[in-house]
Amino acid sequence: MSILALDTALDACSVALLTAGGDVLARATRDIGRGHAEVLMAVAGEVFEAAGTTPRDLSRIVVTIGPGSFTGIRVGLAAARAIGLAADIPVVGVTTLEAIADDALAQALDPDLVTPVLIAPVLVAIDARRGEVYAGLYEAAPAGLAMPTERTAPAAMSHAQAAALAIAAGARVVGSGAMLVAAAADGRIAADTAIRFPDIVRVGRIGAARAPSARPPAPVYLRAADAKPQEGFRIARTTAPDADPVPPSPTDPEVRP
Amino acid sequence: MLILGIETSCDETAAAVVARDADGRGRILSNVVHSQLEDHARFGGVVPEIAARAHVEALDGIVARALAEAGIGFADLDGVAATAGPGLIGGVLVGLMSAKGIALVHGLPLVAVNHLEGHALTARLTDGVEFPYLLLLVSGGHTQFVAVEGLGRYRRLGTTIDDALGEAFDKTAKLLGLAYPGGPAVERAARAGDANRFALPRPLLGRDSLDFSLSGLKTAVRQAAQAAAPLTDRDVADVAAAFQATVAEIVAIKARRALAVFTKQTGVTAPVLVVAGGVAANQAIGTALRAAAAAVGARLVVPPAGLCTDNGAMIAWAGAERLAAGLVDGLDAPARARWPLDADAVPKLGSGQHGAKA
Repeated sequence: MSILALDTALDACSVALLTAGGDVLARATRDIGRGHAEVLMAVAGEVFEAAGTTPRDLSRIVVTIGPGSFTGIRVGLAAARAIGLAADIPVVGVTTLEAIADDALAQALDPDLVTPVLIAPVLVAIDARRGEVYAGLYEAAPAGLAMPTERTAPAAMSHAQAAALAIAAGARVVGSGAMLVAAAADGRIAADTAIRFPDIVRVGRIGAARAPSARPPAPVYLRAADAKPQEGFRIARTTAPDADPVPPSPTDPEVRP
Repeated sequence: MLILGIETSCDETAAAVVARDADGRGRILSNVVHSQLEDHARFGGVVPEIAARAHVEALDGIVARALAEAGIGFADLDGVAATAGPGLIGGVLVGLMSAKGIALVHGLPLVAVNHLEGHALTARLTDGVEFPYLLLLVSGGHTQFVAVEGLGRYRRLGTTIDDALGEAFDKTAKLLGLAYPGGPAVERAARAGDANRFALPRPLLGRDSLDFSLSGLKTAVRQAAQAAAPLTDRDVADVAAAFQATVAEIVAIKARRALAVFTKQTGVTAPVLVVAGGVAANQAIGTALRAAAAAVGARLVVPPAGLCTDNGAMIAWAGAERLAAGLVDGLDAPARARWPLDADAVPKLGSGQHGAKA
């Protein structure tokens, strides 16, 4: 039995197969930026072939659920949920932020020299455009745990807000939005943009260690859909129109004026 | 053969299982449609990002239901078909990727179906109509005459150069303060109306044209309504009735012309006219088309309403027809926002800088 990990949420299209214990059977990453929907199944096919296994042998799917490109998130999630349904196996979500944090924290960690508590936390910041980043603050996993500790839930925030969060926590900033956050902090924090997308093996390992119910395969967009009521011209009536727009409720997608 | 069909190109999340026997007869084993109407009603139209989000949350459950209602498992399938376009790309991707995932697990052939081909072939599933026939596709996104000459052989004879017919109904409804979606609302309002009180133009684009232009009619409706404002319920009913009667008349005139062209080109003297798309449910248009067809000795075929609007059964059926003909796609099949049924068709004026939408 093996675990299939998928990531199409950011620039990369990545697939890995792991044993239930987290050992790598095969992996592939293509840094393509766009076109994930066309490429994903070919990459998956290569990985199954390299691992000498088939989708019938799967015991679990792990998939990145965002934040990232809305379309990219859905490409991976739709595929993962369909594979899970068709193979009758659980699907587990992993956020891009925690997977990138896991990578960044591991790079700072030499287990022979330091214990996790001595590692500075990281703020993962993904460029979300419109003056914002998708960000979350993470600490190294306590000994024996497979995933970093999430100190703040993933959120969309301004560069300045992210900078304040990093400074207060003494965190370094990593991810595609790291320089934007560092600029907002006038260079008072260390920033590293080298990690632009999750390491697919780390995605798989976090998912392998997680109870499926802990992170269901539901998208994490962090931003409402762009939508505004169509105001189209309407002629005045002597009686009430049938379709007065319903005022938006707080749970509804953002409505822009 | 048993085919699973998935449709997510607009605001219906749909999946169905269809059987096709060796003689080419089809049978629907299940047909599950989840409408997102309420998600979009407040915006007065379909919001693409909201639609895509709803599809990815709902689709696996809809597929599971379609299989359960058909009483089969994935292992019983002979293929998976999904709409690959044209449509709202975010939603199309969700359906197509789901189909790819299922195909991957069970080693099934994938059929990437053109949504319009699904509409075009539905009458073969429901009524066993033989090729060739004339199709009038009338929905919120499309208004076209297509000569359906064989599987994969479609010739567009005419199309709208601006608004789709369903779109014109929606805009008229909005103008008059009627509910969304506009088609049923205008039809309801028109029932009590006098179609002769307001005179509206009938844009026919010349004697021979099989194309439609509805934006001028839209302007005329607005001007007529403005002149009568503020509108009483009587006024609203009369404007709706005038609009609907005008549209029905235009469609009937065009249908007679299209049938004549079709007969001349194919030599079929008693042709079949198939109507598909959501607007096919409009009774005034249906009555006008029936009369137009009868006048030239043609037979009108209108599939049941639930199979005229978007659904998974039509995609499964198109997939079954293609699979039976050996037409399958790779798992690298792209989603296509624009995908004319007749790939050689010259883009029409007003169809946008990227060429024909469909």
